[in-house]
Amino acid sequence: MTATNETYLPTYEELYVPPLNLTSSALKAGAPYFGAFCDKESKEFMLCKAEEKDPRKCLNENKAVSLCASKFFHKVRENCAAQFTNYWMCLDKAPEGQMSYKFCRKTQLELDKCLSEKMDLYRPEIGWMSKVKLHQTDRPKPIEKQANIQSIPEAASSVKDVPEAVDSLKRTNGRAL
Amino acid sequence: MSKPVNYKQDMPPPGGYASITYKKVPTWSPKPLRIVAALSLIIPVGIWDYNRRKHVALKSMIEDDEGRQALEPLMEAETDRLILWQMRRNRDEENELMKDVPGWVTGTWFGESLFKTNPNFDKWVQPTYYEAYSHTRARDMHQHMYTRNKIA
Repeated sequence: MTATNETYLPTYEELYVPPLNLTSSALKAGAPYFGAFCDKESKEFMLCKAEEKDPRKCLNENKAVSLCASKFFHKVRENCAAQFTNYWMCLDKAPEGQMSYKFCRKTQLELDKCLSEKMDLYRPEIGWMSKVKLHQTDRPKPIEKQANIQSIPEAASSVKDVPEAVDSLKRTNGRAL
Repeated sequence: MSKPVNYKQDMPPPGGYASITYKKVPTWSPKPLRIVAALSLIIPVGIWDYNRRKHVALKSMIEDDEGRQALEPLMEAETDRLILWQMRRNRDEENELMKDVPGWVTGTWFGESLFKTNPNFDKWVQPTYYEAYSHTRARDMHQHMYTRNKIA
């Protein structure tokens, strides 16, 4: 999108969130627990995106998701660093190149045990994430504006019949053609 | 003119040749009823095992899929913020680049907006790759577009 100077865009400071420097296997390893831990934030953000269809209006929800992810992975590092490292290293070296969980049941069990003991966080059962879930939110539903479309005139036969095009040609010394 | 005969007549061994086994040798085979009984045991066990393996594989696939689903909001949030950041960068760059051109208005073609009903982009329009990478080199853009998922 080519933004004009009147287009609302958030500033760099508004967009800044402390970055989460994690590799894909670590993200995949933490994914099911992250889904349970940041369930509310994730749903709120996805609902906002679906309703507003505009990332500029969902910036607060957006940052909440990233901050929650930061918080979750920092908490895991504090409590279960060794188990988590073992698990994601196992996923990283898993065959088939898909980082499938089925090859790392042993380390997964250790991480499950540690997280449930220290963080009271349980890996959701298989199928939970795929379910359709209802979400209660305080954000008001956006009112859809009716597009104000005037009647479209007949197509002109020549460029010179369109006053705007003639203006444009004058302004650009004929470069528009 | 008669030579003495000096050869030995080839004769059967004493006691005669052994008899040729031309009769069909009876082969062993299970009784038809036993075949039916064995198959009726093997086939259900095979079907049960196939279904069990299918279930395990499907469960594993769903688990992997759900891992990616859980990360979807995070990935989308990061992408959105990156896009907004890049758009602001592009706008600043365009203001700097076109400041000497008379009549140029940023984000338009000499004051003509891209969309007639949406001149200031109050309604969101997702930028394309070419818009997001408009101030980069083509080779960098193509590298990001086509080879960023290449392994090693």
